[in-house]
Amino acid sequence: MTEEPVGTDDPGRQDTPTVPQEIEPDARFTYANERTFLAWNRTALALIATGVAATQLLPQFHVAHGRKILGIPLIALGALVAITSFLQWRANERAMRERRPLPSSPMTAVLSIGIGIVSVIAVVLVIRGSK
Amino acid sequence: MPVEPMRGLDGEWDESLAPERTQLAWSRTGLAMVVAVGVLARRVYTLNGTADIVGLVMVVAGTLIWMIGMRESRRLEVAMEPHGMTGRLPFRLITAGTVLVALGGLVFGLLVST
Repeated sequence: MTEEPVGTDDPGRQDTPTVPQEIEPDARFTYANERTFLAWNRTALALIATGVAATQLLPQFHVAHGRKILGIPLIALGALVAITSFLQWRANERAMRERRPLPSSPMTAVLSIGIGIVSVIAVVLVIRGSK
Repeated sequence: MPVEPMRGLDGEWDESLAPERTQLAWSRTGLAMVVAVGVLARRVYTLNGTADIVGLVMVVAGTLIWMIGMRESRRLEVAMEPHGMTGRLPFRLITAGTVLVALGGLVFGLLVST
């Protein structure tokens, strides 16, 4: 099942097919790719919910627009993570079907750096105090 | 290097527990979506008095949408063509939903927050 080529009418032909030769990947890998997408999407939802809570539910800080400074980057990062998770899922699916190495993604670093920056902002706001 | 497919006790193709883990992942994502919508709804409608009903209706509606999405994703999975890519509709829907929640959060964050 995993070795069966698709995209050619005659599997015995040796000449170059007109469409990229694809295989049906191991279903476990397809499921794993799907779960990875969902995990990224939950991360996006958590970022957004935290950002909304920061802008709406926290007390006002002594720093002007402190809640926006804290919450808006989290929401924007969540939207970015949501969009890139879909693009990454699609790219992984294609790579598996065309037997190419899985494409790398900068999102792990982007997420870590983003959360790090927001954490520094939060520390500064907390030190300055709330009203 | 090709991967040897996993076989069950009866020698048939066995996907192990991967489908179950994936269904549970969809379920967690749906719950996370309901919570995110609930956080937004909490701000839109201050929950006191009769407004409680509005908030409850929104959360129930979010849960229903999630359950329908779960059922739809399962149906598409079963109907997946042997050599076709997994149905993209559930992935697109959940991505679009998350981006919409983010846009709602941005609007309320910029307009309402101080």
